[in-house]
Amino acid sequence: MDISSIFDISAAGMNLERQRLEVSALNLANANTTRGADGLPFTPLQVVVRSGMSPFDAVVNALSGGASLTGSGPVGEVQAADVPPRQVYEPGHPDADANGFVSYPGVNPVSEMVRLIAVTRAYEANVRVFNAGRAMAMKALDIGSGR
Amino acid sequence: MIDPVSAIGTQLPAIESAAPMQPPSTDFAAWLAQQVDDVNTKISQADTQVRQLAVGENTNIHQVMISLEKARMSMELVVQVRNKVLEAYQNVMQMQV
Repeated sequence: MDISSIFDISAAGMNLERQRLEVSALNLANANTTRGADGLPFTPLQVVVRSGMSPFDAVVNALSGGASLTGSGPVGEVQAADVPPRQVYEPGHPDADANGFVSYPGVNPVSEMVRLIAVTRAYEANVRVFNAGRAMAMKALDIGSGR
Repeated sequence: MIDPVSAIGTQLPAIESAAPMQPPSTDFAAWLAQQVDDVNTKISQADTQVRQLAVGENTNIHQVMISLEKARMSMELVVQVRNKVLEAYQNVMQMQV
């Protein structure tokens, strides 16, 4: 197994965490957006993570044992989160409905903050894995040099 | 039925007689040249990415860092190979005749 496939998997993980951070930033920035381009309040987004490894790959890897796992890192898919909008009574608001309620996006700042922490730590974990792989490769290059 | 106890040695696969070493398909110089080429490509890729990051085209910092690290490791490998070749050469040259 090539050591660069470890790097590629770590890179896929880092890409995913960056994407999750972007989505969190978008959600937080639009927490008070009551009207988008389509006239509806902003819909909170979420990242659904899929495995890049297809079942066929899994079978082949299981059969051959220790094949390269390049391209089997996680893949994030941005989807609309199914959360109901937050109704706030603001009769003077231009986006208020007939009863005077304004629909704010159902962004939960607390859970977004927790997600920020989780994303940061997960990114760090991927960097750790990368560094471990790099250290192993560098140690392997040290073989025979300590005389 | 239980098989009778037999000598251990007969169950081991016969150790193959030393097979003649296959000569590598390409010679060492060609291999080294190809590796150097490879390293050069990696370094230039990393360089391109750094440029793109500097002008704001590429926002993936970790991708750039990973490319740099890959280039550095390939470089290190070639340097180690070169060190060993040089060492062998010097050993041969210092031989008393």
